[in-house]
Amino acid sequence: MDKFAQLLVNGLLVGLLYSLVALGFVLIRKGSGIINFAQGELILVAGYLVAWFLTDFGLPVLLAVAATIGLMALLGLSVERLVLRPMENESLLSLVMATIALGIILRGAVPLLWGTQAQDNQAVFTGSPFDLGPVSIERVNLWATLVVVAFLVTFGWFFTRSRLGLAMQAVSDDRLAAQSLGCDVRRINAAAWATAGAVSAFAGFIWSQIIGVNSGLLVVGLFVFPVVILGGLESISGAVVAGLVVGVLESLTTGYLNTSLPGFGPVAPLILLLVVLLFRPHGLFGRPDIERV
Amino acid sequence: MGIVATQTGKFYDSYRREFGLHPTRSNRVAAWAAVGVAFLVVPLVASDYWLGNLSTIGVAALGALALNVLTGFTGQISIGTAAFAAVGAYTVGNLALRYELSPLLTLPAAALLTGAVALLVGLAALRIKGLYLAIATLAFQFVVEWLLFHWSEVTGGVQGVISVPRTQLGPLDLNDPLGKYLFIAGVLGLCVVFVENLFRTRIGRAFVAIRDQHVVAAGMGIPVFRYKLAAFFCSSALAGLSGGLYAYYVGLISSEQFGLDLSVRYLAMILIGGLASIPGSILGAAFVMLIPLFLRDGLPNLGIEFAPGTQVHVEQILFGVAVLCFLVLEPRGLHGLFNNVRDYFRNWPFSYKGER
Amino acid sequence: MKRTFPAMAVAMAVTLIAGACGDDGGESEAGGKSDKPTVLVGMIGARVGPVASAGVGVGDAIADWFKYVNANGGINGRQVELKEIESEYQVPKGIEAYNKLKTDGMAVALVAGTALSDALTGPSAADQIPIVFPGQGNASAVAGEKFPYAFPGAPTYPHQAAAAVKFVLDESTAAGKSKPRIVCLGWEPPPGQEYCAAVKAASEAAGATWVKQVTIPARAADVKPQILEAKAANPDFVFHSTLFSLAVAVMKTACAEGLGTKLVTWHWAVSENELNGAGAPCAEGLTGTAMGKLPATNPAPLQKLKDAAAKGGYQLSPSAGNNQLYANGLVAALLIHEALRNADAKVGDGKIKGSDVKAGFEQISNFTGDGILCPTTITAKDHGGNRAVNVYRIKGGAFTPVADCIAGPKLAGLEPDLG
Repeated sequence: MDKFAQLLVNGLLVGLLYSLVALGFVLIRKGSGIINFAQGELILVAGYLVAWFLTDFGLPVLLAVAATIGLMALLGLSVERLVLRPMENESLLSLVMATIALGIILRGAVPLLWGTQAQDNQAVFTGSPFDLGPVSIERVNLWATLVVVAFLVTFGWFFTRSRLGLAMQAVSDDRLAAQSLGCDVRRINAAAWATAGAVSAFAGFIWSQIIGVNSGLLVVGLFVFPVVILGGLESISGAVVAGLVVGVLESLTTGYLNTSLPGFGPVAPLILLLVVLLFRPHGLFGRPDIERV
Repeated sequence: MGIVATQTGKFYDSYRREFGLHPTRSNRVAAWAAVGVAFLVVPLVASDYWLGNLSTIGVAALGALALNVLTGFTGQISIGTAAFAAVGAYTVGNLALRYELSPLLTLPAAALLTGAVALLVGLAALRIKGLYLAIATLAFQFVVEWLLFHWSEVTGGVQGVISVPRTQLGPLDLNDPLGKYLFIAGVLGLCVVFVENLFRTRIGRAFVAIRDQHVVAAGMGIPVFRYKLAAFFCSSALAGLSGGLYAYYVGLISSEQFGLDLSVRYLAMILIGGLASIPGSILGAAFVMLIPLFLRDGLPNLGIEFAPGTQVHVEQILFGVAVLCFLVLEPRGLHGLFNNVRDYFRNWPFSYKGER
Repeated sequence: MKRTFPAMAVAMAVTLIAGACGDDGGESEAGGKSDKPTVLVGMIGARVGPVASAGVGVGDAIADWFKYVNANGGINGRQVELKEIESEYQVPKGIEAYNKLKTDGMAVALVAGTALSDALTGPSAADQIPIVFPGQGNASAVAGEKFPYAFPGAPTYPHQAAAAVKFVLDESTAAGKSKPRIVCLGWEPPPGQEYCAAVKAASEAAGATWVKQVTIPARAADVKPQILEAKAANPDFVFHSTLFSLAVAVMKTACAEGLGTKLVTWHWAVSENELNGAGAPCAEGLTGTAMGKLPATNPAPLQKLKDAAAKGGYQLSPSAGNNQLYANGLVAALLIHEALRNADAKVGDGKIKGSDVKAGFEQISNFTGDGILCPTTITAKDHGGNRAVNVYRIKGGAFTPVADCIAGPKLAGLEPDLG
């Protein structure tokens, strides 16, 4: 029972971190209709930026994270302006390939800028873990939970109360109608990418605290897909719930099935993704696209 | 689109001629010239090194062709081509190693088995459309990678390696660069003819209809799901064939070689070469394969030298930038570029900037 | 023209310029004049991909070494040209790299990555160009008569595992615990699995208690369940065969679960990368094996490189501070150097061919490379070199040697019986 509790809690905590990554993905999808295959690479860049500010510039944590948020938002804006705006009306395949190509570029750029050796990783969340019975929770995970909750609240408010948020909803609902009502779709796309960049900055920072500043940060990008298929490509709360489910699924699968099915942990969420798509081809919370002839 | 009506003034005088594989004389000349260059000129002129490169390009081109059938012609996005290539490669590897069958048996077996696997996968996957299909194929790619690592009976045990034994195919020694090249070129040629013919038939036209307007296609009486399955089968069989050729070319299959980046490279090849274009598949494969070589060998001549540590990352970035350039600037790829140039000369001096 | 053409052009130009201003220290050219024809050494690199950290360390080390050699008169007056071609750990690219280097006339190749060395074993025999791949690859390649041109030259996975198991067993027995419990965290790809299979066989052969293997998926971001499973098995030693980022994850998680001091790592995994990544407190007590002497103990070849760099006013590669991986590269470089020296002695002023280098390798006898290698002997029958490893431990944030040149029991079934 102890083992189950430990695995469950671990799964929930890791799942929350997966949600954090998926938040950026959902924001981009919501605000610009694009599927971002380069989410892992954004996390990678963010992680390296934070480490750079912390070590080479010696900035205190808050400033380093703030600077990273700024730069990542800038990166998001540049991506939207330089890569995606010229491809506004291209086919789905082109858009998919565009973000994949972007990921390749970022993956090649990081070692050029910072070298291939691991960066010094300053442990920011020092302090002993909290113990809850048989389970112990690291500080960094607690902070991550706080951040996710804060984002949930913020984006909940943002998308239902603020002008920009409502405009984003409108654009994601029906682009043409939103345009005809006066929404500046390009500005909204840009805002979505900038916000996603900022969110990715947080995600990158927290993930780098957990697994270090190295190319391992790329791996987390792959978990985005099970999360968003389960939770809906455009749902923030869905991403959080689905993230928890995916985390728990991976944790329990690894904990109990690693001997009979070695290495199946990360594959289980993918099987779940395939099963979900089989029975609900638009995802659990997705909307069926209305196709017009 | 495979067959386009001829430009500027060529009229058919018989239905037979119009529906032929190479309807115009220039098509026929081009086709025979390609065959001549590939099978007569290159073996005489090329060095072993270039025969090796051309063989690699041939194997990749077959994979790109397979993906083009599915994505370019039928509009179904797949990020799992490498997984199907792996199925073909391991079929060939196991049959050749355990039962010592000749390539004439192992390759068709690889194609059929991969196609069968694809049918199973497709029965489930092809109800999913568009973006979700892309994500599903991505998931499938990862699942197959897991299988490659852990299904040791098939994938060569803990080492994950299967060695393909030396083979002779008639006069061709498949361990000799020339033999490999001729074999690969031959198989590729046959597949090219197959695909060209496919898109002359009703089935091929149905694929294209499904890509363009699948609701209308269904309304016209095309059983969309069945034809999607057929496209999936054809595409995967060709991908499996590509994997099988890879097994013969390298002589060794390792479970780490059929990852996501290979699938992404195939996508890049068809986008760079030209969607729905058979010459485009080959051009795209050649481009993706040769550009790193030219950068590596040519840049030092321009005076730009990189340390090996930085060169590889520069190449990565340039690859991504190249893909983006093609996506933004010339969505019809290299074949489209070639057509533009050809049309310019064909229409000269009336090739004014107007329609594009 | 479409709008973003200027942007694209700028992007490409910036990339090229940025790359050109990238760090120095990689390609060494054949410098200096000599009468003897230059010998070309090929390096088929894997600086990108799953074994990137190893590819970088090994590639940097061999480049630095031959740069130093050339600056100091070459090998008996013969300059060495080193050409590195990146393969991105993709076999077709590796084959192309090999073919290109072959066309350029290379006499010997250093190959990074198991998949590549496996794929090139056949061509190397057909083309009579020896390939060297220390510390990796198929253990069966030590059979010199079966694979005449494949030279592991240094302990492969079964040897490393056997030696590591023997060391911990001896240490454990000396401390009063006679049958220590051993768990192995195996990296999912074949090299990792091979290592754990060897640990299992070695534990059973040496009389330790083998408990289980726990697989670490190549795509895992979180390894807590695996560490918990290992912990539940009550191990005395936890071996692992992960690399770089996963190794950092393993170390950090193991540390959090109190298993940090029980970790024993393979020869690709502990370097400054993992030390920095996991942090010195967590890495404390980590045990690992190495093919060569650690840079921390300042072996003579490394000192020579440092002196040469200081005198010549250039920097060694960044990975020179990297311990394991760079040292592994130096081992390879020194073996190649010795083989070339033997070949040069044989051909005098002539051109060195691949077969000469093969013969040169097979003359290597009790070679210690100025103190960096355990005594290595390569014969026509046995290309294994040696089976001995050095063991070290991290104490106070630094690598401390604890045992020199120990070898483990032979593992029947995992390595060929060379009679």
